[in-house]
Amino acid sequence: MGLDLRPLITVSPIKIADLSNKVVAIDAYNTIYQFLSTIRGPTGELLTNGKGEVTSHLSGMFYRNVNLLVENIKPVYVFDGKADALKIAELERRHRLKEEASEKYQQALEEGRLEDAVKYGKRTAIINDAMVEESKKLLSLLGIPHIQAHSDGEAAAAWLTNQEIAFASASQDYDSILFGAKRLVRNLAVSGKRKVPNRNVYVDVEPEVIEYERVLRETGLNREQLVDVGILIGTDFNPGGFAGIGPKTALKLIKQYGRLEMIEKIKDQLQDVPYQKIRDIFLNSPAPEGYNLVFGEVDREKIIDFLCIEKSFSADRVTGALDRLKKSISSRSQSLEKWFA
Amino acid sequence: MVFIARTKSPEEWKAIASAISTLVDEATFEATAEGISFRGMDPSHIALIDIQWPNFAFERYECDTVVKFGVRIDEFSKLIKRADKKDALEITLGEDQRTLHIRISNGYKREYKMLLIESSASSTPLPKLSFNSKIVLTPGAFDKVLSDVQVVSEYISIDAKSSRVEFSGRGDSGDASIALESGSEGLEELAVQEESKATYSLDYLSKITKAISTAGGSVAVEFSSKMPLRLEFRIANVNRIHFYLAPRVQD
Repeated sequence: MGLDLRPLITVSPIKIADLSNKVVAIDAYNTIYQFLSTIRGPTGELLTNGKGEVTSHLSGMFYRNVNLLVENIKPVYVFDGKADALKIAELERRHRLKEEASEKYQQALEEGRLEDAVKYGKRTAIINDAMVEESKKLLSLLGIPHIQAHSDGEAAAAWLTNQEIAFASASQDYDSILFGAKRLVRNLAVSGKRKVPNRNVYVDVEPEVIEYERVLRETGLNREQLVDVGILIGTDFNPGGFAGIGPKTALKLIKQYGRLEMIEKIKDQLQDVPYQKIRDIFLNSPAPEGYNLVFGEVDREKIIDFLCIEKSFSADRVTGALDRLKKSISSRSQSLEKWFA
Repeated sequence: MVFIARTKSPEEWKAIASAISTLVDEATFEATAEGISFRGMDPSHIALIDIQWPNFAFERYECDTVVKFGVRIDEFSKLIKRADKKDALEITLGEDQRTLHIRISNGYKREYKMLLIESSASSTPLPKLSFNSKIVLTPGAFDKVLSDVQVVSEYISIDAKSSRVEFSGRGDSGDASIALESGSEGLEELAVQEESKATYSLDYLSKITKAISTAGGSVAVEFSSKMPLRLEFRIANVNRIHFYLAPRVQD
C-alpha cells in the first residue's frame, strides 16, 4: 500500500557514489518486508535452514548491508514503535489480506500451479518478533546502529534528516515526504534488478531521490497543505482516501481551496475521517528518545558463528562477502572533514 | 553585473577545467575584482581542490561585483578544449546572467553560449595542516612514479627521508618500489623536516596529475605521517592550484 504521491513530484536519479560517506536512515520494517516477500525459493516458500527456521530476512539484511558498507554508505535502521490507533485498522486489513493470500498460496501449491504459488507466496510476508530481534542482532554485528522510533519509523527517519544527522531517509513508501524528510531515497539496493509483479520480466531499478523543498516549490504547497493532499489521496491512517479523488485532483482541490475543511464536495465524507489527528501524526511526531548512533566495527567471527553455525548459511558465501567488505574498508580513504578545524 | 576574462593561454583554462572534472560534475566558480577562484570537494569528501587565479594573469579582466557561475564541468571543458594553444579565449557572463559566452578567436572566430546551472555553492573550508616533508618534481616525473606503482597497486605509500624518498605499493600480483635520491632526474627539491610516511589512493593522484601535467610547471608534494597530502601545481600565471587528499584508513 502506501501513499501515491508519484504523479505530483519530481524524482531524480542519484548515484550510489553520491551517498558515499553519508548517513542514510532506513525504514527497518519496510526493508524486512521487502526481503520476506522477494527472497523466496522456487515455489514461493520462505528460505529456511535445516531446523526449519526462516532465514530470508537475515539473508537480505546481510548481503544488502554488506553492499551498502562496501560503497561506504552509513546505514542507520529505524524500527517502528507502537502503531498509532489509526494505523491499526490498516494493519488489520493487511493481516486479513495476508491470511487470504496464505490460503490461496496453499491451494496453488496443492494444485501444482507454480506461478500462482510464487505470486501469492510473496503476499504472505509477516514479520514476527524473532525476525526483528535477529535483524537487530545482525546489524549490531555489522557495526550498524539502529534506533527505536516512538511510533512510525518513517517519522523518526524524517526527524533524523531534519536534525542533519542523516543525509536522507530511505524507504519505498512516499509517506516519508509527508513526515517532512529532507530527502527520500528509493531503490537503495546496490544490484539493480527487480521483477515486475505478475510478469516474468525484470527491469533495471536505479536509486532515485526526492527532495522535500523541491516538492513544496513545484507543487506550490506548504507543509500542512501537502499533508492535506496526502489525506485526500489516502495514507496508512485513512487507506484509500476519498472516493474519486486521485493525486492530481487532490492537488487541484487543495490549491483551489487551501485546506480540507474548505472543500465543499467532500464535507460529508470528511466527517468520518479523523483528519486533524492524521495531520498531527505527520506534522508533530515526537522525536525518538535515547538513541545512540555509533558506527562500530564488523565482528567477523560472531557473524560467522551466527549465520553459518547457528543459521546454517553457506560459509563460503558469507566469508566471501566479508572478505569483499574487508578489502573495501582497507582500501578506503579517510574523509578530509577530520581536519577541518 | 559585468564579467569578462580574456586570455591568450587557453591551456590554463583547460588544465583547471580538467582538474576540477576529476572531482565533481558541477562546479561553481567565483569571480571578484581580484580574480577567479574555485573550491570544491568530491562527493565522498576525500579530496579537495582550491584554485586562485589572479586578475593580472589575464590579458583583459573586468568584474565589478561578486559573480558566481555554475557549470557542468564536462560540458565547459569540452568547449574550452576547442581552443588551440595560440587562440585567444574570452569568457563573459551573458546579459541575462543565465549563460556563459565563450569566444575563441585567432582569425577564425567561434562563439559558444552555454547555459549556466543553479549554483549549489556551499562554502568549503580548508583543512588545517602542517607539512613535515616536501618533494618537488616535474609533473612528468611525478606522473611516471604514479603510473609505475599503479601497475600493481591501487594505493601509493610515500616514505620521505632527508636525502631519499621511496614510493611503494602492493597489490595481489606483487610489490612496486621506486626510490628517488637528491639529484635524481625530475626531483627538483626534497625538504624533510621530519621523516614522514603515509599512504594515499592512486586513483585520485593519478587523475589530477594527468589532468594538469599538460600545462607544464612543477608539482610540490607536501605531507606528514598519516596526514592528508597537498599537491601544489605551479603553473605560470595561476596563483594557486592546491589539491588536498586524505590518507587511507589503513596504512
